[in-house]
Amino acid sequence: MIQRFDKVTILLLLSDLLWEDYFVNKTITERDYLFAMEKIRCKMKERYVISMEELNAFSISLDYKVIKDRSGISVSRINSN
Amino acid sequence: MLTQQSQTDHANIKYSKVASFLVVLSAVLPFLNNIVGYFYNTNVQIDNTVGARSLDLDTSIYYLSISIAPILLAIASLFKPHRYSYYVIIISYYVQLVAYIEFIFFNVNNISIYAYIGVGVALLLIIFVLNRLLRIYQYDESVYNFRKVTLDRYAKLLRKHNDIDQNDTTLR
Repeated sequence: MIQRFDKVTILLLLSDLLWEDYFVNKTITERDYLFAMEKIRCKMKERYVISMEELNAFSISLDYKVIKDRSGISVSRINSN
Repeated sequence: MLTQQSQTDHANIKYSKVASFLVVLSAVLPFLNNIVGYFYNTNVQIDNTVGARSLDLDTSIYYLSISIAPILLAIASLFKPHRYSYYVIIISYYVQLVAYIEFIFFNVNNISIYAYIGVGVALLLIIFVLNRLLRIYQYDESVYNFRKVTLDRYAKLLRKHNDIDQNDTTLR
């Protein structure tokens, strides 16, 4: 299980990357952006704490992955190259 | 630019080292009377007893050092001392606190292991509660940031689509 704060941090990082991909890189459409944001918003509204694996699976469904190491939590694109 | 950054980093490390030393010094200060007592006779009475019924050298050193310690600590904290140096402060004042609790509430000058454990547990409890509060605050702050950023981005999308002027009164 991860802390509620970590869950919000990951969702916030995901939404930042989505915006960057839509608005700056233009690699996703507006529809995809809004659809993914709606999923994130629903996940944010869920009060219960989920496991890191579950959150990572959620990120992968949006084409991103969660990396947790000594320096902390970060989110990156699956096909970053 | 890189050289300039390196110089700044070097200066910051130097300041941090000095600040860490000041923090450690402020942790030692409450025990200065004991340290001086090893080398000099600090039981001599001082003539000037304004503010105290009787004043010896040991007590006056303690009064002075205990007043200087927080000032040193405050100055040191401005220069970002090493995080671990604060642990010395916690240990130092923990020992002080246990000693005072024994003196005041139990009227004994013999510090027992139970007192250390009891005060230690109380301090851990306080740290735990503060940590929980901090977590709740951080969570609320993050949710607030998420909502604010998302709302700003949606507003940007809306303006882009409908070519709405930012000062349009119909949006208010």
